[in-house]
Amino acid sequence: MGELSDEMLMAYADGELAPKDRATVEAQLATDAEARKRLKVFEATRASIAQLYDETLQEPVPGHLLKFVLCDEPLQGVYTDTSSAATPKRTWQNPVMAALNAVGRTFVSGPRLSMATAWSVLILAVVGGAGLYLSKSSGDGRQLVALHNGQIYASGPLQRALETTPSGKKVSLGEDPASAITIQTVLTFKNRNQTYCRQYEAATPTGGYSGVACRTDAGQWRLDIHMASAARPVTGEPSKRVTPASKAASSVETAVRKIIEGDALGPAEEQALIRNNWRR
Amino acid sequence: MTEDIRQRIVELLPRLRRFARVLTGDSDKGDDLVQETCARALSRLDQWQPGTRLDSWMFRIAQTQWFDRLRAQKVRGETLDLDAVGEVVGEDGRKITETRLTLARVQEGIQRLPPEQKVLIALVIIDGRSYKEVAEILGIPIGTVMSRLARARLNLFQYVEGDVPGNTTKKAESRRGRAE
Repeated sequence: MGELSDEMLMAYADGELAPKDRATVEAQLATDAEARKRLKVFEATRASIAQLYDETLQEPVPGHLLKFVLCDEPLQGVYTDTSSAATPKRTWQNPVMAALNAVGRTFVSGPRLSMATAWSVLILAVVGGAGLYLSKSSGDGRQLVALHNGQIYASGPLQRALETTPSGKKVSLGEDPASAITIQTVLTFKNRNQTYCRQYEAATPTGGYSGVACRTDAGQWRLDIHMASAARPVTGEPSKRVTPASKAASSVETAVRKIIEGDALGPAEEQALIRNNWRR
Repeated sequence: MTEDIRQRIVELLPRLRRFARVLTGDSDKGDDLVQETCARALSRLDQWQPGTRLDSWMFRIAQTQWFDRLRAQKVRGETLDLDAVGEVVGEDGRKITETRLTLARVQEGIQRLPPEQKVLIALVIIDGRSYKEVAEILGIPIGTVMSRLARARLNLFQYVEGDVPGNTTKKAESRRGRAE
């Protein structure tokens, strides 16, 4: 056997050689000082690089990525732009889209790439579309959602319900059933980032919504998922979960299962948090 | 089944993020790459063959996306990431043999490698995959994996230490590799 090649030395350093070949290399290394020096290149590079990026593994995965993977639906099946020059019209075909778009980009800052740009456009679209009724009634304090910096937050009655209502309790706005808004918080839990989140359902004259909101340090409830569900009233009796009849509801439940840390909070724990303005 | 794959992809996210961070040299850009990778994977789940490794499939998609992105940047005349990394530590600085400094230098060195070499460092050394697995992920012969990886490490060592021990033909070869 001739001089040990770089590749052979590297394979030796990387533990890629069969025992027989290892023995051969070791025998040659014993008599070849020059090869031993070259071996150091491969041992040293392995040793100094191997753990260099390991902290990435310990970091929590950004929520927007998790949600993207868990809630994404093939785009073509979800959002159809049927606009023509005369009658611009957009059709929502799948309520999961709202979940897809309400992705929190909490951890991300800096320049966005094309994918992300498409994203923020769609977030606006979902607020303009799914929240149509709400925007019509803007100014009367009845909007459920508001947009700040590309994020959807609870507003008005939804913000109040999330902040102050125990799970299972229904709050209604308006006497006339034709225009009443009913909101029910369903569940309170901590997510993997140790943030308090609540699952909620809302019935409005134009349809039902369900979603998950997580409380920011500033006391706002950021809607990580807010999707249109079937137009049905909130029917749950106190402290009883509404049966997830629609796909939207089961998608919300799925999302909750993915982001929940530990168990849901009990009534006493929840009451204490509400009293304390959600400070632990 | 789709539900199950999504869950499995979620479990791969930390490793994918690490991979993408090494390739792009930046955590935000890395996460964008991961998101693009997931978007592509989810849109063509039918192309993944059950029974084969999902991680290899995802890593293949990630590196393809990254190379596509580099090509697009080149076409648009943008500065490539690897060119953007400047000389931070001078000759004097390198004499201070502090661990942290050396690590920073190593990280810098990785970012300066040609993309074909960087991807091998990321897969073999950082993700800990075997030469054979990497050959399959990248669709190149195992001999190419080994020669590129060896060049990458000689380049890196030379960048960090200023010189490569051993015979001069190797050094000349490694410089050629760098210029590729």
